[in-house]
Amino acid sequence: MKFKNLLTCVAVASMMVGCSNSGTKSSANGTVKAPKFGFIGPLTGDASQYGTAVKNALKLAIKEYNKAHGTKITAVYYDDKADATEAVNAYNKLVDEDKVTAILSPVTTASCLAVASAAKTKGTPILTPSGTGDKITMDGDKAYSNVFRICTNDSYAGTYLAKLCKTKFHYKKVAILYNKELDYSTGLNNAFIKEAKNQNVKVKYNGAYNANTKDFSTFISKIKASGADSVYLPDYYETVVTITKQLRDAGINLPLFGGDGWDGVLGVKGVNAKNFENTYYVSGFDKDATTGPAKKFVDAYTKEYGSTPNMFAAMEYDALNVMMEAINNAKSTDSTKICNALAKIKVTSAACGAFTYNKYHNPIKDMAIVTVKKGKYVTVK
Amino acid sequence: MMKKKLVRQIIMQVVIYVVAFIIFQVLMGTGVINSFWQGIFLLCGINIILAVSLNLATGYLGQLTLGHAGFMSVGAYTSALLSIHLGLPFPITLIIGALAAGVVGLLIGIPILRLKGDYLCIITLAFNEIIRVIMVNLNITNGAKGLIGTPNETTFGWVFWLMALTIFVVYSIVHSRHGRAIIAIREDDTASELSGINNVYYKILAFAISALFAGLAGGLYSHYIGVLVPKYFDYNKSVEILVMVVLGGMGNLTGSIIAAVALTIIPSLLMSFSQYRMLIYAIVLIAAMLLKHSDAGIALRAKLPSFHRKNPEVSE
Repeated sequence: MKFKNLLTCVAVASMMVGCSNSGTKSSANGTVKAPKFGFIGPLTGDASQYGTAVKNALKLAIKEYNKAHGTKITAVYYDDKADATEAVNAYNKLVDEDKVTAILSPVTTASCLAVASAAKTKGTPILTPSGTGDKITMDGDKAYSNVFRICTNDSYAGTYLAKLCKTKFHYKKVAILYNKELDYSTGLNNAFIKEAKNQNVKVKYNGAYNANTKDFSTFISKIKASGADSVYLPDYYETVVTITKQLRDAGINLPLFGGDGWDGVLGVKGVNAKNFENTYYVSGFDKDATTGPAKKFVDAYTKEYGSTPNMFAAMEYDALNVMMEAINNAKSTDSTKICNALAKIKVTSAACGAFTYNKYHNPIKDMAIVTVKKGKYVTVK
Repeated sequence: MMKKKLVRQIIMQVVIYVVAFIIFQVLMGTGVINSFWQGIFLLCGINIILAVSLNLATGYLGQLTLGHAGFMSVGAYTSALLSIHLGLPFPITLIIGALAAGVVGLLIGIPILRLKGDYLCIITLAFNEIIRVIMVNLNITNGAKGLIGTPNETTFGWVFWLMALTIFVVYSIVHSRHGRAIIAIREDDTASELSGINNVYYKILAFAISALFAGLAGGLYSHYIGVLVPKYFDYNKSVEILVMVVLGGMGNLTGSIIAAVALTIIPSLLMSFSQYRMLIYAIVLIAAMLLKHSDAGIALRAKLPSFHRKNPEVSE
């Protein structure tokens, strides 16, 4: 009797092996008409506002693309709570069980790093909309052949700002206040300091605060004492609004500037737009554009979800279109061919600006300088 | 006579482990267990090490601690840094990582084990935060940007055998003279001291061993995931491990193992429920706690194979 049971087990097991093999074969023959994409992002937890926006944007992008091109693109969405371990589990599941063509995420940097390292052997194309950490696309000194991003990396943004200080703003003494628990913030801070030396811009004060800091008065008094002529705030918009209010309340009317994380400062509830006079940030995405792909995306998103999209959403929207362009160029869903096509891609029209990839798979794009005048975003010419 | 029985028991255990290991390897080799499930089983193993080791401090010694993730991070960062900067072989980094966590456990255990109950709980929680903040601020750990470049050397085999080792060591300690002393302290602090047990020594011993294995789990984790961020080791992780111990039953090794496996698999299976996932997870936890003390639950547990069959007075 027991032997019989064992026999059944073996038979079932061998059937399962057979099934899983045949599954791989059928997906390899899949046409370019119906690729399947994977999404990994924080849909619960602290960072869920980013993950949800990205998920919404991907849904919208797929719907529009299918309508316009008659394709049957689908996507599978998994939550990773912005946790690297869960992101790797989700990646394995997407590749093994859902058999996706490519992964249009993860959303957060730590998840990207872990997934990039896990995906090395299988070579699944990974295109992250918002993972800014420099090392995401890097395997030691070279780039991973299969990892790409839509956003600019931390070094690019930090360096860009430091150069602007010299060439455009003519700031000579900068005070910096950054979030040491946020990879985006520390990355932008380090890149800025490095380039500032080359540009002969002096960093008068470099203060680091913890995430969830609410009272910045000690930092502010030090900024006051430092004699700086401008303040650099590399953080996301919620914190920027808090710090800016406290700076202005303390009577510091110095110019403030930051990276693309600032995008959305005027959308925060209860923000006083007056505080943002004389502030500047660089961004690839202009949500108040009156023409072009950015305008088209903002309108479509607002219509679909009833709220204005943030930068992350716009980048994910681009991610799908860029990935589809690469797949069409490659005329195949084979991982290696897609990655080769991605590396050579020239994006001419995208919500977050046209770009090409450098050899480290980081986009090189022009960034717009945005300022606030009379409660409205204005692009500086 | 006693010794013969013990040897037979150990041989039986080893045979069971070997058979289980071969079955897993065959299933993985043939692809019945795909890489998604391989990853989950590997994490199950790491969580079993964490839960079983915490059970020694919390379940058997009776000290409610919330700093296990802190010890785990010490082990994780130490072994990862040794791999990256000195290029030491994986097993050696694991050993040094575990020892580092053990030493930190010892140093911290000496002052804080004077406290009891909720006071101890809070101070271990604070210690967990201190370690996390140190990891954020040190240059060598790369702060919030995450430590990368750790070679992916953790395989299922490593996790499986080190898990077996952890279970064996904790089981042996609990069933030895030292274990009886540790349990006596849990039952009554004063009475055990009056009976001539060196309370301080045993408390610190159990605490340090518990930390040592947490460090081991950390080393395995760092060489599996390849990227370490301090945020992963915050108090939520400590609570997660404590939940495994509480759900499985304080002072119940089998329970800890089952709870660790269940609480690793459930969230992964719920992944596609996205925003409802944590809600469902919470409901499962509440249901499990309620069922645990229901008649059906008790009857079910009686049927499970137990590490305590020979001396039932040890378990809760």
